Amino acid sequence: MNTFTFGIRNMGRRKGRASLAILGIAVGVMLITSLLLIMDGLESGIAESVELLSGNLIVQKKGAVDLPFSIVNISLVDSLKANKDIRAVSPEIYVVQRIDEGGLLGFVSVIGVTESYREMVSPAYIKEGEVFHENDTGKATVGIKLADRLNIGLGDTLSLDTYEFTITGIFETNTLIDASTLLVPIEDARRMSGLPKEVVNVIEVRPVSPDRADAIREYVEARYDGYEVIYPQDLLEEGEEIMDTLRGVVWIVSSIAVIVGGIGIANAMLMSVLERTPEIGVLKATGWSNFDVGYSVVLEAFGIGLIGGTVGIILGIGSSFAAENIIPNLPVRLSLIPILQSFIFAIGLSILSGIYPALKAGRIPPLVAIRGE
Amino acid sequence: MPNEIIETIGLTKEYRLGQTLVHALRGVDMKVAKGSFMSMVGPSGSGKTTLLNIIGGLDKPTSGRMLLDGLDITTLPERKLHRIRRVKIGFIFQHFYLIPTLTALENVLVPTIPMKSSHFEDKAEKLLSFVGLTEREKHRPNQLSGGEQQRVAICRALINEPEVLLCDEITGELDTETGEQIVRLLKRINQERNLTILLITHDQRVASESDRIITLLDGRIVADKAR
Ligand SMILES: Nc1ncnc2c1ncn2[C@@H]1O[C@H](COP(=O)(O)OP(=O)(O)OP(=O)(O)O)[C@@H](O)[C@H]1O
Ligand SMILES: [Mg+2]
Repeated sequence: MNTFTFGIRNMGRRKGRASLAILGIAVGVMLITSLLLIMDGLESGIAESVELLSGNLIVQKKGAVDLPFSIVNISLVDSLKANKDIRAVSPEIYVVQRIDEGGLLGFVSVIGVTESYREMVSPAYIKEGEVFHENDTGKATVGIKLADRLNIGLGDTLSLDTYEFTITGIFETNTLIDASTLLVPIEDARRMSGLPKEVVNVIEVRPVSPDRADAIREYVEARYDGYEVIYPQDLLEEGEEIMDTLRGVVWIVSSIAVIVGGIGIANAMLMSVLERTPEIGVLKATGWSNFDVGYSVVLEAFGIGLIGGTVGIILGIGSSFAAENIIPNLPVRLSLIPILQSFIFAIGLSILSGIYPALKAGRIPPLVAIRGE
Repeated sequence: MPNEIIETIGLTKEYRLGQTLVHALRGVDMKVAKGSFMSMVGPSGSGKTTLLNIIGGLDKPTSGRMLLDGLDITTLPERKLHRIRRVKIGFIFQHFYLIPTLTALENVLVPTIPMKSSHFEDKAEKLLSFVGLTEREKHRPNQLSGGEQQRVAICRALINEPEVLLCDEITGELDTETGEQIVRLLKRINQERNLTILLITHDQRVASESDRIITLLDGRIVADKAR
């Protein structure tokens, strides 16, 4: 036997108390793990959505807070097409529609597009069926995950408010829009949004090459008053800034939970040490040094942290996947870094919590054993 | 090398209890030869335990010196003292103080745990067989009788091959017959291993097994009889 096994086995002496300490740390770790996993999922979702645009620019009304609130005159389309730096131009109308999902309230985002949308994204995005044509009406292509969620397939009809769409295609981009978006002919979207004839929400622009982006921005902003060009990269950075803030909040909140768990460990260890005072005295009398005694106590705390951390991570992974099922559009993916971060945090804190009881135990004089107090 | 393994010079020990000063030891001078089997008797409160603890380096005297093999241990700091206790001293207590979750064999090995060496296992088994507990190696303390537990504690005290074995009323919790068995066992250890044994007892018959009896009264040695 060595000090490690000795410490770990001491952990099993008061199973109830050890279990509570383990539970305390596990709850904190669960919180950190699940929140970080969800955050990571959201972040990569944002990154992928932006990547989908792969260097496309968006022309919108200056200062519009979100795409559906922007208004752009349709006449810009032709003049943008004339620019040699621009390969393709796609006018788009964005509508958010409420939808009844088996008694629950859901939302889908509807994007009205023309045939030119095909040139905006990778042509392989249509997974089944085909893209509708310019003059079609009442047809839609739907994101593969949204189709799954609504349980609809090719040829089915989807009612949105008073409008009906036949599903003619299913697209897969492996990004967030798969789970939320319906592409419809632009005139259908116009009817739903009530936008007048001569305007759309935004115009998406694909440069001939990514390094022409700045030239395009200058061209647009110099020529048309009241419009601006946004890079999807800007959106990503903005998103990441928000995510960083959120991540900080997540750490603070869940650190508090883990620290409370750590206090639980310190408390349990302190009680064990006091309870074992005579025994520790005997260890001392048989030649254990203060350090040896303290070390075994720290190892015991480490054992609690190890089990608590492991249980917490398993629960955290489980609960983040549960959250994914309950909340639509919440992408969760297993990534190692948040798991490692919360695990190391928990172990470190457990060891730290063991230090005070360990010092206390180390200082117990051997005498008390013999005096039988 | 002095022939005396233990020598105390003018040991005193005072405890302050509120306003009153308790004189537990009032000047103890004593020499113990290597290999002797000595018992200490005296009424309750006469200072026996106090003296034994100072000899074993568990306690410090108020004044005086305690030489173990010629080395004054009263001035050693705790970080050196623990090594002396590990290597030179074995303690046995009235309440055996075995660790309840460990088996007999593991309890014997407890002093060696911090030493990161695996060759003690054989030695522990030999010790247990020496005290007649081979069958009980895997038993936990609550599955052992008092006498068996005390024998495990003796093995624990012997695992590091100490030079001195200090025993404080180790038969106190045992019936007379079991107590006598334990004392005979100690005597065998004393003779076969030439180990110095100091034993505190209230039992005249236990004391009569030893080859020297000192009597303490009110913190002083009042009688010292070789037999
Ligand atoms: N920690 C302490 N604080 C105060 N007084 C103490 C302390 N330890 C011992 N004493 C006192 O010192 C004196 C000697 O005690 P000691 O335990 O050495 O006696 P003893 O001979 O071993 O007695 P017993 O036979 O009852 O075990 C007693 O008067 C005791 O009350
Ligand atoms: Mg005593």
